[in-house]
Amino acid sequence: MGIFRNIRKKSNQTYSALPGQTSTHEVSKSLEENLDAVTQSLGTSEDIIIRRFHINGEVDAAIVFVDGLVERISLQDFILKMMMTERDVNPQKDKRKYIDYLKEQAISIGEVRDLPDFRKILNFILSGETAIFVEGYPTGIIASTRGWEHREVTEPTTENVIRGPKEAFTENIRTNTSLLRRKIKDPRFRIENKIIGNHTNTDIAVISIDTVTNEKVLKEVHERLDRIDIDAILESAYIEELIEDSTSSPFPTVFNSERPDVVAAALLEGRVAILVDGTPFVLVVPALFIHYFQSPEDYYERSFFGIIRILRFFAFLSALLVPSIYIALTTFHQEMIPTALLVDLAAQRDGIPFPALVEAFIMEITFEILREAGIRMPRAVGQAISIVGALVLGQAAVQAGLVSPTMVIVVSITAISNFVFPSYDMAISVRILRFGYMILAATFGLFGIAVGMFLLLLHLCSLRSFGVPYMSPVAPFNLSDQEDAIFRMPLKFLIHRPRLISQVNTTRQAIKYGKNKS
Amino acid sequence: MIITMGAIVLAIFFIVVEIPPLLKEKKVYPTILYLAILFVGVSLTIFHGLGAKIPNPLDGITYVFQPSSTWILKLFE
Amino acid sequence: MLRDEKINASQFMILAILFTIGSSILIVPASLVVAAKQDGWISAIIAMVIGIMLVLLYTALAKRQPGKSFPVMIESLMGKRFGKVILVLYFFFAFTLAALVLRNFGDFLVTKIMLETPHEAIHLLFLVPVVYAIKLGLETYSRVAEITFPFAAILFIILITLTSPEIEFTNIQPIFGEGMKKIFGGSLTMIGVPFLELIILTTYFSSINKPQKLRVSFLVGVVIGSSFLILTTLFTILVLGVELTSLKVFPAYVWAKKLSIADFLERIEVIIAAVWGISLFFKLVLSFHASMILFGKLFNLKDYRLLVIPMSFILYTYSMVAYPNSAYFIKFATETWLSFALLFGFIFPSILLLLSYMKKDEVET
Repeated sequence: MGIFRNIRKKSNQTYSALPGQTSTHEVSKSLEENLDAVTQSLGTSEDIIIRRFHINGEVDAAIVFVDGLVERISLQDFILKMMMTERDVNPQKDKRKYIDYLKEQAISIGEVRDLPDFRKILNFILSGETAIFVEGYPTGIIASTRGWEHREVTEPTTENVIRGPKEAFTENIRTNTSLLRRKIKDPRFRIENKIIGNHTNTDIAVISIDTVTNEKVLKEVHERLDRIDIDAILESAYIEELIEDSTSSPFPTVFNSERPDVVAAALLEGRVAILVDGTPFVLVVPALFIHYFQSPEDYYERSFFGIIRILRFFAFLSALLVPSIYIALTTFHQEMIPTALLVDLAAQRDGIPFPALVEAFIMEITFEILREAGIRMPRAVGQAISIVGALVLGQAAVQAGLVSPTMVIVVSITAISNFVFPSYDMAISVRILRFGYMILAATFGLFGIAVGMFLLLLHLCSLRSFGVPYMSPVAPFNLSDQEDAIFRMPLKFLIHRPRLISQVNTTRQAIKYGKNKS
Repeated sequence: MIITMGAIVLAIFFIVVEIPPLLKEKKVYPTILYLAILFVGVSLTIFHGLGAKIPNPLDGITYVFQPSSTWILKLFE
Repeated sequence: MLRDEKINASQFMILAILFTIGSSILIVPASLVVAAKQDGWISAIIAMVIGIMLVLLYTALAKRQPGKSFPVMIESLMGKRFGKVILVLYFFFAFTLAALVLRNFGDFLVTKIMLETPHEAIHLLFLVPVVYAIKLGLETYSRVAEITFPFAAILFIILITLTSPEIEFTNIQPIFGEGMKKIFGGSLTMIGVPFLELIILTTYFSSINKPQKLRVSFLVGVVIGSSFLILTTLFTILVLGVELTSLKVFPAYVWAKKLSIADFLERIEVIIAAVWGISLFFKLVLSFHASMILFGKLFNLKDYRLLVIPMSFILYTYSMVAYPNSAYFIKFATETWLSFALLFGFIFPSILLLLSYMKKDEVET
């Protein structure tokens, strides 16, 4: 996709989305002028519908809406019908304005407000509300009629679990907030709205739980969101990239999930969620290194101190290092390989034209290409890819004498390890870094890998996510946070919220073991 | 030869990366210090790489401190 | 700009442990055994006691001058002019130490693991994470220390347990057989490497967020670090015997070679090299960083980190020319270094402590 995002300068923040807009942004008294302004700003698009009518047969009025974005039934039943039917009301005599009459008595819709600002009214029209203009009144009434086609709540596609809720966020921000609210029925649950994107006017919701969320983080989130000035927000990734701490790092510092239970758990840990309209992926900050190794299943299945989680850390290391260790051992440290194995290895490598590094590179890159192809392929062709892949990576390559069978094992281990992380973001960074380690291993053996590890650790420890050290609670070490970091203690020992994330209200449950309040 | 080339390339690289931000902030004193130390460091590296004999500071330390060390060690023999 | 960096007491403790193990684990066992034979490990314990007293001296100094880092203390106690001279000397001391640690590591790698790789390449590559660490700052690399230290400790414990079947107690008998004089003589080297070098850590005193915990964490760190050294010495003697130990340049590595897991994984002594790699890395970072702090103080620079890269070129050359041969290295590390370090690790700090008492009196009278 060739979308280039132009980040415009602050001074240039004009509403170029509305080209015909005159210098005044006030709603005019004259109905005709208002409707002219609407057609001027929005053009004569087919889906913009202006419907004129008379209230009580005496006052001219019109409604403006975008076809397809509004819910037709409520528009007809609760706006048009109510306003167009004769009523025994004479506003002139009652000394009430028509506007008030309409708002208070005629329009039977949940959310109604009147606005004098033309620009805002246009924005509302474009986001699916209905605007009502009445002759002689310099305000427009906005009636909430949003209702457009959207996807139902379905099973998550990227984060699967055996046990746990089977619902995922959708593209509709309102549905998403409701999914979260249904999980956390707490009066302290807070949603703050923002609109970002000069062209797209995308709805953003910042969700936190009062007294649990760290105020500093929340403030920082708002500051960073307010700093954004961009034409379009098409996915939460845009927001992620614009607010993350370090864009040059291969490691993600903003977490995302499409599972309401994961986001709810994060909120209850004191983190902040950012919902973006139009995408099922919700951002969560601060995101720490360990969060990328936690799966909701750690909490839903019997996990016995989170043994599985340790397996994931191990998979991280093996995805990162297995090819490079193989290269280092075969080229520099043959003495460390048990003799019997070494003889076999030498026999296998006999006749292979490439040094171990090139061999590994060929296989790893082939695999990466296959994987990339597998993602982009139409589903029907996917089968073919996996057959070809199995042949290329396996039997045929070995028989052709291009690679040794051990190399195939090495690549397979790496590939499978790479799929162990619950988070795809972390998998991407590992994929990139692996090649660096392979080069280091080929030039300096295990010493090169060790230097690489130092560099990696230094980099990881220097990262921060919204002020929280990325490697906490391991470094800086925090004893009480260890209950749910590398290990996952049984639930009755999970008493505290993470210290560095939530500094207030840190107790999660009554401390008496075995006598939890329900 | 590799060392000489490497040292020069590295030096140029670091000058390009690290000096402009300094000059932007008008920090003349640190810039001069930076370049001076870099010059000394790179020339030492190059001389050493070319096989020139560079005086070993440890010889100086040995000259000054070896007598007292010998004396202390004698006490325990 | 430069943030005020703070580490907590346990991070400082880990840094102290790693600094104590540092390069000493390469140098000390051999020299102890050469001097005190089978009683080398007793010498190590004696050295540890003296090390503890040195730590008490340094922390006493910190108590007299709370919240001040070592370079600041020097300037405030010795006066601007004379303080500068001392600062230059200390810079030289810390910088020399950094160069020697780098050299030790290079020597070890080249002779034991990376036999075909040139010295130059290893020094250069090892400097990369060191420079990066100092650029990122104390806070960051002490976090790395927090992560890596448990691995080092576990590997060390594995090594000890798995080689324990090879122990022969006759190797350390007769205990005290060499006489107290020899035992004390043996401890001298270990006092020089690492205990007198601990003065480097005083540079970071002002960065500890709870100064009242400084003394305890420093002491615990030094004691744990020393026990690594004592255990290494003891096990090297127990497993290899006095003869073999005193013949080798890196006897502890020979000890590690005895490690085998289930008769399948053999020659995995590289694991122990990893432990030393970690401790040497941090000792190098700490001493190079300290020298940079001293240098920055000398030239009144706010951002001394800027100079790390140019300085590392000098460090590289220094480390390359430092030891012409291993005989020079052994003589320097076991003999000359002692009185050199004594000046910086004991004499100057004692003078400073005396001065701090005198200064106090001046204020009072």
